[in-house]
Amino acid sequence: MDRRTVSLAIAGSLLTALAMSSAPAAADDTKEKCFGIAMAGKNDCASAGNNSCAGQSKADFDKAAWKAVPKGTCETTMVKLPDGTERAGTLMPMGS
Amino acid sequence: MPSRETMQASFAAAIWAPERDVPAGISPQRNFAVYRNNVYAGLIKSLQARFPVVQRLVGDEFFARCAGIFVERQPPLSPVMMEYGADFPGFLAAFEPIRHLPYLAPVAELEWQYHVAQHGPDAQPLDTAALATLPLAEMDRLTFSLHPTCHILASPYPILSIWRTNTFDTVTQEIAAGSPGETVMLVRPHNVVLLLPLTDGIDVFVTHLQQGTALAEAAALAQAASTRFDLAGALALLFRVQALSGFHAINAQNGNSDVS
Repeated sequence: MDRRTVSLAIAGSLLTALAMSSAPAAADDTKEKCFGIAMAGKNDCASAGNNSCAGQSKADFDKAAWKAVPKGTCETTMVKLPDGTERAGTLMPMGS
Repeated sequence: MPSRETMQASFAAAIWAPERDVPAGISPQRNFAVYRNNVYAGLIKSLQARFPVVQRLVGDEFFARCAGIFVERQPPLSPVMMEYGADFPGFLAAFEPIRHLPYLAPVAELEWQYHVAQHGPDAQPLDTAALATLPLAEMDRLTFSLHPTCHILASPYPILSIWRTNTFDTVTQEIAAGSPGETVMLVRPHNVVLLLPLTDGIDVFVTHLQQGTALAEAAALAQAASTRFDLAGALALLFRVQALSGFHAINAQNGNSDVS
């Protein structure tokens, strides 16, 4: 390939990539906030009340801390608590 | 009565030298032991918070002992706790009792880089609209600046798989010994650190972009590293996770450059 062909191939890939990434951002539609399933320090941003940002939850499966999970999977995500009982995540912060 | 400076210096020195007598003016000895113990416990806790996967892998008790030895040997040099633990992966790599677990130090390094990315600076994503309007002939000589939190970590061990199952799974998945190594890109475009496995030459591509290699050359090097390298897919991934924060075009006619 001569230099011009290379240039066009690169430009083609770049434009394809731009087109692919400028499609409406779907990320938010495919995730849901799931409370009560995040391990300590692994929550996503903005829990309700006890801390303000990602990675700040202090306890495993904190009922007020959330994690983004694929939509529709939250309430079937089971976690095993230290006392051996299991419970599912919820879409709203759990009452204590 | 010693001066306050002398007093503080001997107090601090005694914390790190348990065999030494408590500093003059402190009594009873037992109270100082409580203070010293709290300093150690606080530092061990900060390591536990920073290296939860390592802790899960070796167990709480072993981790606490191991962290305690690290704290003793390498007390913090800075009062900023956020900076403490950078040397912990290196310490683990040389720690005799875990020599049979060679993946621990690389996993610890991943956890440390996660922490670094979490606290790294923010940056605007690159202006894709401006990029799309560049003359086609200039595109192969484009260079990019990567997001300041973007970091690439290559390991001969499956560090991301180990990290994932120990972070998200209540019951960890089995990862077979001898599983292939993984190269991970960390980036924090918004509030959450993203960890992405880089395969099929994308690792080579991103590494070269990060070093300032022009687009066409970085693509050729990636292609040489893996025949499955897909330039459009690689760029789309980087745009999607906002790993690129700017581009630099060299004008074909007069050599002037535009920065965006």
